[in-house]
Amino acid sequence: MAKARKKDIIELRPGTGEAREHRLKLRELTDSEVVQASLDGDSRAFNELVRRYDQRLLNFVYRTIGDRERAQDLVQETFVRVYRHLQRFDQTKKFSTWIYTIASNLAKNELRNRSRNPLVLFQTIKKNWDADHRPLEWEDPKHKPDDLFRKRHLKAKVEEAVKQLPEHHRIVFVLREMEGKTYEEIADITGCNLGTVKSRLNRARNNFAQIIAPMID
Amino acid sequence: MTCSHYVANFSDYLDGTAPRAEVEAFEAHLEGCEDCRRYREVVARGSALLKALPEPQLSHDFMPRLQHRIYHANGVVGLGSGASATPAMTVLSMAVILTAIAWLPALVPRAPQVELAPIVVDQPPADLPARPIDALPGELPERAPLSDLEGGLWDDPSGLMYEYSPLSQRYGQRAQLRRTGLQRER
Repeated sequence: MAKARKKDIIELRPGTGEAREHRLKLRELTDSEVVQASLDGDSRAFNELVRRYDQRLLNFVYRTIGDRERAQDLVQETFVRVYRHLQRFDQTKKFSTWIYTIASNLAKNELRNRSRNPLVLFQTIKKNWDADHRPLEWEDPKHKPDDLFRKRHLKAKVEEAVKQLPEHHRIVFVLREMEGKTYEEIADITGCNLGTVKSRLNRARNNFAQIIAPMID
Repeated sequence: MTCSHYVANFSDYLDGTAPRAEVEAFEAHLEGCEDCRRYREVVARGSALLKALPEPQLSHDFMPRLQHRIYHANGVVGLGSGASATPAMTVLSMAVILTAIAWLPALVPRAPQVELAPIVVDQPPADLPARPIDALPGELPERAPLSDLEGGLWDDPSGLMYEYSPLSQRYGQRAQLRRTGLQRER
């Protein structure tokens, strides 16, 4: 089976009419059907899965870890793991949840590895603790900067606001706000219960609003 | 409803997961609270700005690199499923060779055994004349002179080596004292 799949990858030749038609047919299938086609030996089916999720996963991982090059590596690693373990995927579950779970775990590992420095680890733990235990409040204590500065730096400020969120809040926030995942999907991806997801999302939105409020009229 | 309650449950309201009665309470509170209205506006606009951010682009070599990694990952999968045992056999044979090299010195004798002829002593040691105790330095016992072939500088053990050693000086002085009678007087 492994040798047959290897041969299929080598023989892939884009550009022919038949190949193009096959690709178009694959685009009309659901994720489950594409997964089944891939398990049946269709190498183009796996390419279709890559095409569907590469950009979305890159956006998610990039917003989580903040490093574009490393995010690409992690997205590739995600697809490699999907390829290697596709035969063990439970097809009664959603494929997008599974692939996002793999990507989320890789992103979390990356963030954990970065915080190995004891001082960085302490600061991260403290920041996460404060984010979870500080009472939620809405107050705008800062004065508003001038309009020109605000408009010019608003996008950068929004990006920076996401990066400033504590890690476990950031993942939930990005999955909800940028990927449009439901609470149940986010709970499956992150391995948390529904209440924890809601709590973290609420705090993330509160932190986010506190940071960008001075920039918004 | 208080502002704290509103902020604490804002996500349920925004995402439409709050019960109908709770939603009405939220909206009633918003009508009378400017701060909470601003909060909703900030979160909504921030979310819109986030969605409008440009997405990071994949590099041009993303797909070729991914295919390369999958190609090699396929080889690793093949090994795990037992499709080819060649790499395992190679590793095993190398381990056997290295073990043999490591144990070779213990199995092979280090150096050839060379048998030398035994040393046979068939004559007793030569009876050398003893040096008299009162002999002065420089006085050597009379003995048959050695021929040039037989004699040598170090052949006479009671000769020159003793003659110029500190011991000879000490014994020579003692002998001199004995002859002159000074030692008895002391």
